[in-house]
Amino acid sequence: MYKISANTLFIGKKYIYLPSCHSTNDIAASYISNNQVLGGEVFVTSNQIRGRGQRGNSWLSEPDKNITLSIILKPSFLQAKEQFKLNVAISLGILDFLNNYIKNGLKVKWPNDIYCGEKKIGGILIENFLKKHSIENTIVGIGINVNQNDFNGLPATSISNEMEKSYQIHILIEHLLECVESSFLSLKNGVFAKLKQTYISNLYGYQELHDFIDMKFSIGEKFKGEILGVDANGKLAIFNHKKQMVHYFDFKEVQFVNNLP
Amino acid sequence: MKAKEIKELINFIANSGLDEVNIETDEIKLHVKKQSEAVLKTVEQVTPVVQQPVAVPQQNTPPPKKEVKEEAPKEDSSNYVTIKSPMIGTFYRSSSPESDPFVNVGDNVAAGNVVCIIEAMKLFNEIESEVSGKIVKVLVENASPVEYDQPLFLVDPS
Repeated sequence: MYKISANTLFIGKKYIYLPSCHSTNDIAASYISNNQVLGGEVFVTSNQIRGRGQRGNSWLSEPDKNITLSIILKPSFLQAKEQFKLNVAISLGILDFLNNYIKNGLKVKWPNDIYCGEKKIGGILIENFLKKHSIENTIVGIGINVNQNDFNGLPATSISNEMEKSYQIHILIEHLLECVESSFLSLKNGVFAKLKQTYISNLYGYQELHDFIDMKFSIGEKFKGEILGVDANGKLAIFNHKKQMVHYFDFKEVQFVNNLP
Repeated sequence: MKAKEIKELINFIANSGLDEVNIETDEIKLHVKKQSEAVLKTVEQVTPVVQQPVAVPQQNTPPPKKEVKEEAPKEDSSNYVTIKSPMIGTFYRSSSPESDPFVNVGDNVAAGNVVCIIEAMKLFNEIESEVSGKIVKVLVENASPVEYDQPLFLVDPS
């Protein structure tokens, strides 16, 4: 875990391993405030004690069994208002990585949870540092369940659970960094339209009839709908079958039924 | 009833061993309930008395933190600089629900200091002040939605 040899151009050239820490995103944030950042710095731990998910939520991971790391990127080619593109690229990088191990059932649950079937296998926490209207630095926190087999009844799974064997974490990390870099470079090289299409077609519930709870128009009301895609801001477009209308939802304005995280 | 008196009353009840107390007068309704170590209370003014901000230490279900709104000093405010939102999203004054706000009214900020977070579609953006100066006013309530270019803070750069 102390050294890796990922076949990358810049991600992981600076590789900092901590046997345990509160949150690799926090370590990366303090690195940014105290150092000249080049982009591509990676912070890895085997035991994340206080992993964070979205605001107020935690990310739980058993020691030594999973991937918990953060990458610093410098997406200065993106305007702050274009940041959903970053989410698309990172989600697809992780999906690419997982597709090498698990062949079926991988989806991105909008906006950026990675699911295998009905179970969560990975999560992303992106924190941007803005300079005026552009993104100066980004911390991409990634958690992927690898060898953990017991999730206390939560709807979660791991690569090992799906494939019924165990893996060497450091080799998977090398591979993950390669996939994330490749996807990030595609974004930088301006092929976003293609990335967006791949992202949409890999969305959990895409073009399927699902139950949702509306938290925007008629709060708490259940409705049947079909995911059509996302808009430029990343809002989820759902076709409401009863109202025969397309509605756009912000995160927290809509919930998936049956599979509440 | 003054905030200080309410506070004293709460402390008294907290130390009394009573689990629940209801007090109702012409001008105030006070309900204090002890849950293990936490004290939960709601304050409701019934008759229109002089409105005064009451500092309520809530411990069980922290709602979005109440902003203490302070009037900008009555002087020429045309020199003030506004910090605007670079995107559509949700405005947060602290890095997590448990932590203190990045800045309060009266604080001095340097250019580059983080003043708030805007969350958009689960992406978190630390917003830096572009100027050095003193925070004169917080223009948006914690945890509320903001639009592109919406003013967030007033800063006195002098």
